[in-house]
Amino acid sequence: MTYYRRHILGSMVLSLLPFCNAKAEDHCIHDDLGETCVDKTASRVVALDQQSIEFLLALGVQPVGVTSPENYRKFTGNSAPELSYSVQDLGLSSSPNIELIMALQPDLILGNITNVQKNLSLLKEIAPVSAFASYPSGHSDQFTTMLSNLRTIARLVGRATEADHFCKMLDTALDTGYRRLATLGLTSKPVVLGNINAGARGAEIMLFNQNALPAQILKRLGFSYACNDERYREKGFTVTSVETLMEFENADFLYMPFNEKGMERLIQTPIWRNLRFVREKRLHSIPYRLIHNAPLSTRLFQADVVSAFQS
Amino acid sequence: MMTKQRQSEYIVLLCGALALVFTFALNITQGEASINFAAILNAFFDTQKNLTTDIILGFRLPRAIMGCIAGGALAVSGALTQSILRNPIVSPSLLGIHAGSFLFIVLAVIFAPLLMADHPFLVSISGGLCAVLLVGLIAGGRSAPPLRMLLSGLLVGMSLNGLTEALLILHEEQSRQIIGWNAGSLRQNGWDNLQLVWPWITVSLLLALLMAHQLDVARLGSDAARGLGQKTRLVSGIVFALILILSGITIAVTGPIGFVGLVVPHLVKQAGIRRHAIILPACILWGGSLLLAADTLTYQLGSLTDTPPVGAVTAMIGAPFLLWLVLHQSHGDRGVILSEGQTSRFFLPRITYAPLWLIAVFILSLIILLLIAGLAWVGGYSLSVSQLLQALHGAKGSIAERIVWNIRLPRLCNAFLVGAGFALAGTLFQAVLRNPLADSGVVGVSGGAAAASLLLLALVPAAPPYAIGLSALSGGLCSGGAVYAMAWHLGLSPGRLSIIGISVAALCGAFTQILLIQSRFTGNPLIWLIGSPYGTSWSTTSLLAVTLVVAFPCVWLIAELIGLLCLNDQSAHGLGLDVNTTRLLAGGIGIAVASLCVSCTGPIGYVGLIAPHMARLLVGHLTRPNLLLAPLIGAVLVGAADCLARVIIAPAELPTGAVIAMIGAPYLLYLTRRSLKA
Repeated sequence: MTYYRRHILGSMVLSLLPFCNAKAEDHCIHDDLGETCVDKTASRVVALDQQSIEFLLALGVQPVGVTSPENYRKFTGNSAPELSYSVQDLGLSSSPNIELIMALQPDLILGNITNVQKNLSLLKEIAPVSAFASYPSGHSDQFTTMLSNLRTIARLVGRATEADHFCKMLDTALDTGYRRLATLGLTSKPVVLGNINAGARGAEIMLFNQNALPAQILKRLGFSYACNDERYREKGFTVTSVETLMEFENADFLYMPFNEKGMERLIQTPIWRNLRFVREKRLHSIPYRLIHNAPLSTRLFQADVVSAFQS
Repeated sequence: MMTKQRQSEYIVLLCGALALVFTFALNITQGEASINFAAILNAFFDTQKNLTTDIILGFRLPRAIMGCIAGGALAVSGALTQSILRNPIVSPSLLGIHAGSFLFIVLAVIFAPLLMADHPFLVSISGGLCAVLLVGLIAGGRSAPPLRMLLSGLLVGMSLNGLTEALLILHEEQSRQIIGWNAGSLRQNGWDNLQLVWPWITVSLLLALLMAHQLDVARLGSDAARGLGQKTRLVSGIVFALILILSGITIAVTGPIGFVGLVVPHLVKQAGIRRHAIILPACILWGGSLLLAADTLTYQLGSLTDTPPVGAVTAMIGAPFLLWLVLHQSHGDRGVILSEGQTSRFFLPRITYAPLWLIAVFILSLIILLLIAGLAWVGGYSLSVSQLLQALHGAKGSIAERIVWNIRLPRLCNAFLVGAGFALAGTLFQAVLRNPLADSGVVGVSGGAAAASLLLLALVPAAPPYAIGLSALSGGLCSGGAVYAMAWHLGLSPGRLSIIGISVAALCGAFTQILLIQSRFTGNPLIWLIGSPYGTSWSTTSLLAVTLVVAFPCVWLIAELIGLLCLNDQSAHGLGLDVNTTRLLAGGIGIAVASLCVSCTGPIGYVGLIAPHMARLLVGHLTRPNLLLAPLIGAVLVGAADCLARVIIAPAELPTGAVIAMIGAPYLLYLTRRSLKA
């Protein structure tokens, strides 16, 4: 018994040891570029796409420089944390101004793998670079991936508690939303979500697949998601025309208008008018959000969905 | 004889009508919802409306009718262009009309959406008009030799497309709306467009038919036509207006769809039909069938994310056709295309007789000035002169030092080197092709490189930049090599080489379009296609430097032989020159240098074209001084353009290639004007 107690105590002490001396290790993470390490907790962070801005603001960190700040403000509106107006504008996210990044002397650069691809070596000379794939490989559930990315970034900027807090808040919101919708008798109601863009001729519908982030939110709110096609799992969406909606007539149609013109063109078609969910008015408009791999937009989206069904 | 002619006319018309009916029916069965044939037939007779009826009658039927109308309009405008220019290898898309219309449409969508909504045809037609004027001016008038017309069309098309791409990069949101339009689509959203279009197209087609006899006369040449009592100016004015209206309106509703206007009239004439009264209706029937068949093919690949644009499919059919035309031409009017006589030079007197060393010193000092200005002021971070000097002396670790040494200096060096490389390659291509309008785009290098890098990105989205560079290099070498190999097979005549280059470039372009469409939602693929030394470092500098250090002495050694290439083949032979070996050697070096440059920075057009001309204006036609000066001028051009590109919309930046195109096109115009006067 004593032996065991001593053994257990010993192992408890030993298990604490890593927390004392493994500071450096704690600042290393695995992302879609491989392993990224920072010397100390990063505080001056540059964000090269909207997703990175959202991750940082969700963790309570104001970035020092971002690309296209006006896009963040436009797509998230007033209800999300404000991006400081003193933040350095770094140009377009496809070709950020490298000098300005260097001049900011950041200790971490966040982005996605497509927009750091071209100048990764230059960026790495400035600061450690961490980047995530916008569409995770392995066809996984994009909501879980987003949350794990949030926690990964939280470790780099030393905000693990804030990440926990954000996840808890999101959980609570989803729970409350679920219960509210349940009282309306909407549990297991089939829905499908599309994002409407004015294509070249006629509306283009970006139809989300079940593993996409917004579809996962809808599932967690109690709906049953109607579109689940193995072919679309890789990116989590397909782009299609109004013809395809015929397959989903039984579901409620949720749509996010990317631009007004898209909606105009969609409404013009006789097919639209005769789709069963249109005739039976099972349609719900939701404000457009740039929603893949983005925590704040996810939170806003779930609130939008709940209020769309309540009204 | 007469009856036999009549017979083949009837056969062509009848088969055309049958083909049109068949492709029309086939097209209606295709779409994203799977609807079986019985249900489709039902839809036409069903009185009570259901969703299937809506899809067939409101979506697919207008699409198929639009296919007939657009295909017919494009084919007829192609036939008109070929007849009025008496040039068998042109079509509105090869003349840059499509690119011009599309640029104007993009401009209007971005900057004047109301204008675009109210007057789409006006916007599109005026774009086409501008392009055609530009091409005419560069080629030197309506009676310019066919090949020269074609090359100026290609050139104008490339630069206008470059501007369009730059606009799309800068306006991400609109570009998502427009990019699917880029290579044409027949999709319709109900009957609205069709109602708007059909009166215009029908009236224009009828007018064209009424002009049939005049066209028969015009094809004899303007002197003969005048002799037969034709008001040639009036006729060509009307025909040009018809061409612009037909292609402009089609582009406004379907986006640019190339090669229908080239292939269909050819096939019809191939069948032995000579009278325009038959050629034009046959073009309508066969143009409609070709376009509908191409459109039907696109649906085999799945939903919109995977559906290739119909314009890419027609290019995939049309470019090999153009190749076949060149490879198998032997006699008849097609021989005209490739005759040696029509390749011409700009005959320009030197503008200065200053000694070479003085000119070289002057250009070198320009480079040094650019270097200083670029190091001090260009970029997001402002440096004072004293900071710059400290940084150059090596105030280790300071931001200024890192910006100057790690970012500005390598980027400027790369701009200079790549400019020199493109200019060197351009000088070689112009000598080899004996054509003043040749550059790396013409021999297919840029197109091959672009297609190959996008292909790698599609297969391995996270490929590192050096792999993408390697892929571009191999793409450029392969397509350049293929062009050369095919031309070699035909005896390397400059005319054939150019047309083969153009076809290969179009084929690569179609491929690029398809890859672009697939990746437009998940990344920004255009950024790899636009030429700019953005994001390049010292490793690029060393690669480019090694390339030039190896290539330049080689070129210098064979400089005298290259100089003799500008004579015609017989005279060169007479002087003891092995013409083909020299062409192979010089062209090979040119392709290698151009491919390497493209792989480092992406295609930067116009440098290879105008730098050699500027050099010739300064030192005349001696080869060695030209080989020395052209690269220096190229360096100044790209260096200056890159500085401008970074300043105009700071902190964002423009693609360097687009800036050069804006300088290059007017310069080329000036050059042509001067050479016509001289």
